[in-house]
Amino acid sequence: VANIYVRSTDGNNADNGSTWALAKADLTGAAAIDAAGDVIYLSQAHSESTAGALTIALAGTSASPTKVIGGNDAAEPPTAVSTAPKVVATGTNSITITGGGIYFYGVQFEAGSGSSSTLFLNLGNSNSSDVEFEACAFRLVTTGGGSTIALGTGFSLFKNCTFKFAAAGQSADAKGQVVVSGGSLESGGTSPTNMFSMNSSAARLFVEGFDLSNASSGVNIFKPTAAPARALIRNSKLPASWSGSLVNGTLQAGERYEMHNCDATDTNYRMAISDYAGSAITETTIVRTGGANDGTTSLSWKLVSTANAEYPNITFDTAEIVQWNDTTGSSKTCTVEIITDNVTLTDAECWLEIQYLGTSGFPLGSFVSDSKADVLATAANQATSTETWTTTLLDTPVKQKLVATFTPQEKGFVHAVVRLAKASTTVYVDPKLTIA
Amino acid sequence: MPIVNHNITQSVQADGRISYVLRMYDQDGTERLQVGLLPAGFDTAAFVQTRIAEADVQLADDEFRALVGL
Repeated sequence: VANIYVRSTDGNNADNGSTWALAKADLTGAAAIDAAGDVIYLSQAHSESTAGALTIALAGTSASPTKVIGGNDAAEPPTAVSTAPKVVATGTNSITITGGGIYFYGVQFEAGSGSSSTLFLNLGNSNSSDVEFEACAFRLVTTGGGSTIALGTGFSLFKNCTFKFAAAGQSADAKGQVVVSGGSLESGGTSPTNMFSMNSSAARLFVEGFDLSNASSGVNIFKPTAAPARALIRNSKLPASWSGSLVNGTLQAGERYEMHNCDATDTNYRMAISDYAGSAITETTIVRTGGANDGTTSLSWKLVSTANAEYPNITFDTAEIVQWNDTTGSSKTCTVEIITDNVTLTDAECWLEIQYLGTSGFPLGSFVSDSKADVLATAANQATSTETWTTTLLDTPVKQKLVATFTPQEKGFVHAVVRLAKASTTVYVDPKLTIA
Repeated sequence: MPIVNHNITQSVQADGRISYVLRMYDQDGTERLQVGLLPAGFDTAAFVQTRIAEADVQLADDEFRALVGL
């Protein structure tokens, strides 16, 4: 394992890169000699720029990744990290980074200039790649609307990274399995219409702790392009007066997008889910007395199905409601309250599914639901309820409850999901699970 | 294949925000459902027109991609 030093101010790719004094001039020079497991140090003074396409092909593997670290060149090797090193490709040129195992810390990447057309900031462009970028900045400088920041095609982690765009049509595109943990949309750029675009059916995107407050109020978080991509964002800050959509497009079967606990204001309960069969959002007006709340605000989940919903398999499923169960060997009854506006739901239209630990000696999940007995059985109305709801906006409130009974044989979490199979229907669900 | 029909329902939340359900339909009758919250006092009519315009662009783009096999 070798250390390779890179410093544009006095480096030379003809040197061997073994010291700061013999530093390579650019990352391409270092990538030409790196072996799996090597560490490439970029000086805080490093700022390389090319008017040609830039491909940085590193030799790292998942077992022995190449590390590229911004570091202060006062020491050799550096003892302090730096986020100042800069790698730039101007004009119509893309930057592509490949390798089976890559770790970058503290590097600023900029691609394009002027109004050059489509180009890419390709980060981890290899299906087998295991890529991590930490404290890096990714900037599209061209105003070409089709340009994208491509977030890897294998597994990629972006930890506390920033993203910046120069045209509304640009976005960060997920093609593989991508985790964005921390970070933000950088200030001073152009807000994208769609922050993250799902550009492969294999794309799975998980975003958490991301600050979108520099985006325009109308920014959409996800754009679907290829089914059955899936994405989730949680614990993130939205732009002030946000009026965008969780997902901006027509969803196909298998796609699902979720947002949990994201807002521009001081709430901690806002959620939204969309898939082929329907959508759900937080509701704070039509709520059950004594039902779910965050300690201050009563809330329910408003489920809205599409015309696609259909028994038994095209259902809109809520997020899981999870509760610890400490009882074994005796029957438990699990109840979730619902309300509609003049729709009496049957057990083929809306039901509760429970997963519990029903086998003694093993953590093996068992399943029970209050849907009809089988796919050919006759449907029956779900049980009526006498619970009190705020029904201000409902013309003809119909209160029902979903009830499933089971006997746990192990202590553990009970997972409950409400499934809605009736097309073009709105149901309010109190996500407070009662187990008695 | 633009949006040819739509309907929206809306209700005011406890904090003043507007909960909306927007259903848009293209020439084939394919539904595009959007459900969400808007800031208090938001101009929902303008919002709907923006959403329809965006959907029209996406539908045209999808149609082009399908035609050229992308």
